[in-house]
Amino acid sequence: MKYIYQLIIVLFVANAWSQEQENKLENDFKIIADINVTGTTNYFFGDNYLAKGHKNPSFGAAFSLYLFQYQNIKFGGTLEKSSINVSDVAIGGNIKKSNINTAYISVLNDIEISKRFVVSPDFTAGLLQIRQKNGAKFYGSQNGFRIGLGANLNFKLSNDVIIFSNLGYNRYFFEVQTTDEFKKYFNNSNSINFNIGFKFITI
Amino acid sequence: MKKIFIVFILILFSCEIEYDGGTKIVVKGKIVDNNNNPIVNKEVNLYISRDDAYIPFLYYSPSETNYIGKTITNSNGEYTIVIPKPTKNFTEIIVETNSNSNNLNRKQFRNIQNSNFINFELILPNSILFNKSDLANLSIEPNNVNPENELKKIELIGVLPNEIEYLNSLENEEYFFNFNRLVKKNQTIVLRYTVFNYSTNSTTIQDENIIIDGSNEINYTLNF
Repeated sequence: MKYIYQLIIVLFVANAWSQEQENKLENDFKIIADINVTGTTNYFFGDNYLAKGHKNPSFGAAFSLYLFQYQNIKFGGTLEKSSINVSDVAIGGNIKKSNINTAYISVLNDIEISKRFVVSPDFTAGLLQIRQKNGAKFYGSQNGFRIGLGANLNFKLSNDVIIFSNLGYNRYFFEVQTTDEFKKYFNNSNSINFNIGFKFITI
Repeated sequence: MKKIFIVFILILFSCEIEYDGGTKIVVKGKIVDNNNNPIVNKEVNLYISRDDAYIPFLYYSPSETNYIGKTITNSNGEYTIVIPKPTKNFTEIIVETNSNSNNLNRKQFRNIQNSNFINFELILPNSILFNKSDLANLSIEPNNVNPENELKKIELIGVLPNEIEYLNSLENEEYFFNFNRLVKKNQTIVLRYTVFNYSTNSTTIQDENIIIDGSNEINYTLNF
């Protein structure tokens, strides 16, 4: 957690420093409407239920809306829905798949490296719910919290449309009640995500 | 009509077995043979079941069984199953070992309830599986020689596979007397039975020995 805070501070300081040097951007605050539509994959790893009890990776889709911009920093929210098949039916239940619903806020910093390429380190934090099903039969849900750090590589197709990829690390925390032996197994996870999508700059 | 349909749908949904995915319960056990040797790679299944629900002329919901737990025993014959906790509309949890037809008999632990779990964990007694060739089918024929007597309970004491073991006693145990039981061959077992006499208003407990030889089928008449 300490390292995440440090990285966020570095991102902000780097951004402020670049503002002073280039003297291009003033302390302006803008309302924007950047829409991202993304295909997502998450590869869960570590000694935990999502990693060892499932057939990785997960596949899904995400929809993001960035509404505010301060200097080069954008603020938005994302809804993501993904699905992953269960592989270990002994520990966790004889269940076919887990659907992962996520809602999180994002902060990203656009750093222009050429006319067409922009790199955007991002930080995300939000809530998630794992819903387990076998066909139509519902086997309950487990709730959690997630944080993530990553970076977008954006390629401008035009002034309004950007194709981008995102690589990131995510950490998950759950509150599953079980025996001490399995608490750690069910209550945390890690993933590396790789996403590809389009951004539409509407304002 | 629309309201009736909505009520019907609500009733239907309320009868489904419900689970709490945020709570995981753990079932552990061990499978051994009758010489106490561990049996490895033996499949263990766990079911959650619900009896059918019926409201005369209004509603019928068939019984439901969820095959929610599945594993095999390790090299020590031990198994661990972790499942989401059933919370509503279920009758019992059933753990079954050796459900496949083979040379060993099967074993079920039935009528397991959430109250049997301590700190989310239930450790079941060892499941002892016998070779089917070592077992005989004992049929007890109750013969009411004294009309004043009523047979209240029977119990067999000896080496028995106990294919079905209830973790919690059933509501009306007398109703579930099983007069056909598997027993190990070549032993003498004790048949303990309880009789209530209506003329004396007294209950007596008596024992009878039954000699089990090497036969596959043994019939025994219990005169009371």
